[in-house]
Amino acid sequence: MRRSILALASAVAATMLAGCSQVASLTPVGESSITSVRSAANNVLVDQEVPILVAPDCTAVDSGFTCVGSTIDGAEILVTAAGTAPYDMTVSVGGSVIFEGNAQAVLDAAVLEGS
Amino acid sequence: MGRALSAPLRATDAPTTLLQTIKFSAQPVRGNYRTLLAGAGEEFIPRFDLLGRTADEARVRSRRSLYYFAHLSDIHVIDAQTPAVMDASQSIAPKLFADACRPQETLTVHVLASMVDAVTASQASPVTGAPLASAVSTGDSADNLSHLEARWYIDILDGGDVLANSGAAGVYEGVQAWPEATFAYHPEDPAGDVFGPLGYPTVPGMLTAAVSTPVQSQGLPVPWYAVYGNHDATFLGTFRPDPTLFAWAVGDRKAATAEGLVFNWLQGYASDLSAAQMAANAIRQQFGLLPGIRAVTPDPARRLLERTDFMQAHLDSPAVPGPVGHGWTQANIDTGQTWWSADLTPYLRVFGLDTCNMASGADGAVPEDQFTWLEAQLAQCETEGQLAMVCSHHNSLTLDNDAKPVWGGQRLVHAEEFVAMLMRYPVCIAWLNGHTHVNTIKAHPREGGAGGFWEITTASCVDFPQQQQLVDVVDNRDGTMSIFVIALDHAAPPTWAQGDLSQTGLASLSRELAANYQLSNPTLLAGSALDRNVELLMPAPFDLSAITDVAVEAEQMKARAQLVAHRGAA
Repeated sequence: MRRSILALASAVAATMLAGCSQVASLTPVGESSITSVRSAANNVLVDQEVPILVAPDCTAVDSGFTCVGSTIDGAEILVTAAGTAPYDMTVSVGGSVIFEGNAQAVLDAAVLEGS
Repeated sequence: MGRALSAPLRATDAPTTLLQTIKFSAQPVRGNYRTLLAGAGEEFIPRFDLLGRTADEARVRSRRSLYYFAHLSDIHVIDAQTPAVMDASQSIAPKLFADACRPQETLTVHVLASMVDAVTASQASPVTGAPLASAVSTGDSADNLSHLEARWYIDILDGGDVLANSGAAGVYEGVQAWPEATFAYHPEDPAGDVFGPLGYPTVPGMLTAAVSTPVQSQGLPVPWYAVYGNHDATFLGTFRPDPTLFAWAVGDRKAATAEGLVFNWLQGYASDLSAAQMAANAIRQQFGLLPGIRAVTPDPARRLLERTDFMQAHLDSPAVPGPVGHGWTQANIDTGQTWWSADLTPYLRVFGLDTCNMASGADGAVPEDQFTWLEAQLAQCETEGQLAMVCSHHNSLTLDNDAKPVWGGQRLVHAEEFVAMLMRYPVCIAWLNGHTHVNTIKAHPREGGAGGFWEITTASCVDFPQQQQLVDVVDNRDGTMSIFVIALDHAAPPTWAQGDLSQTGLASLSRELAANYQLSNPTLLAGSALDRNVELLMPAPFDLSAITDVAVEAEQMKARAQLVAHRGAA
């Protein structure tokens, strides 16, 4: 009985979602991969005291995400990141890599005691 | 009175994140569960994205505040006991329905009262000392289209006592007390639910304290404005409500499990139940024989909001702190128009939009009639030399909903076109919004040169970090202006003292529970350092000396008088 009702529940949920043109908008608010990458990249730049003129603006690409910004002295800020959690990413300034790691770890570290 | 008006406001008294932040303990205390504690403050970071160059340091000595206010959003006051909620959906798809049953959902009124305290304590700008003049809330003030939730949030912002209870007096009836609802956090004993192994605390008496002790609010000391969010307009912030849901809300059956939820749902939609079948179901329910459904005390006050009810609830509030209607007027009720404008000062106009989609979906869009109206209004501001700010619930990441009623509807404008329109009017300096619960500040630069506008998105009151914003719009008197944004924690202590079930204790506990609620990705919601305490520079859209010091001082005197009157009333 329990199994059949759960199956029914799943079927109703699936039908509900499949019949709705707004499936993407049903995802929990705040759950945004592009926001994770953008926020983590910003934290890396601030932590390493990069003089930011234009903060990186992120866009989705085939391989994940690319974010581009610039420093006060005109160097390019380039962030490339995977499209799936934990979002492995590389942050470069003026062609030099200043960070390699994952975005989720940066976000988690930023709220820890002593950070 | 005269002395009070002339006395300087003490900016340093404000307990903002400039002075202190809230951090996770370095190590979990049980399982994965961490407590919170005070950390160092965060200084302002200047952002030059729209200036295209660094700023003149002399601005620090010459600047003047034009307007200082609070930005609230995504308050999400929750009636956790209503039958018309799909908390049991979390057991079907925990990540998808993470917002359906948060561990802290009985404590939202306590958090809001604590946020009112924080705003009230911030009545002088930490930057310029200018007096707090107003607050604006950019939607999702209620959580689930509930009349009670709307009333509670309005009453807390206006000031007064709110008992965050529905149904039986002094008794919590809901999934957090029912052992079969293993998807929910059970503060009396979490050992049998999914939160127990994660180290969530045992908090005897929490639920009873939450629903039996009135929450006292001093009320905001300034006029406040509000706009619609999707949770104020649709069921679960997503679906257009139908008669079944309206009946659920005031009924006596609440789902405790996924089976019960589905059973309730299907029963509600079955229009051909015989009288015998209904009677049999009633008897089975009485004896606990319906799968996953519990009997609860019905409460007519739990009724769902109809389309204009939310606006009417704002009109049914006192003149102080005001304004009556909080942006909406009787004309909105009469016409059904859900958006508004207001002159905050003679030189600053604010526009409150309704970007909710009534067809379906949590995300939003700007209907064409509203879009056309706003563009005409901005053109008028341009002509009259008036600065403008736009307020909506949805932001540029989520203005993408194209759902239309099956019978058609007007064209829906999405983010790219909306941003391009705002860009055509340099007097539009900021777009304030929420929805994603993430502190996010984004520059929208104008093509081929400096200028554009700042999009300012605040975190929520319900999820970690439970932060809102203070905003000071500043004329640097050098052809540039700055918008200072300060992240504001609510006033409850960072660390919850074990066993503290006082009003502020429950607000502290709420923040701690939210911080550990991994389904909401709490560390993401805090945003980055560039999204919290920042100075957002931009070219002045016109010669701001046209706004005379006399005019500014007159407006600030009015604001001071409001604050003094509030202190006198308190």
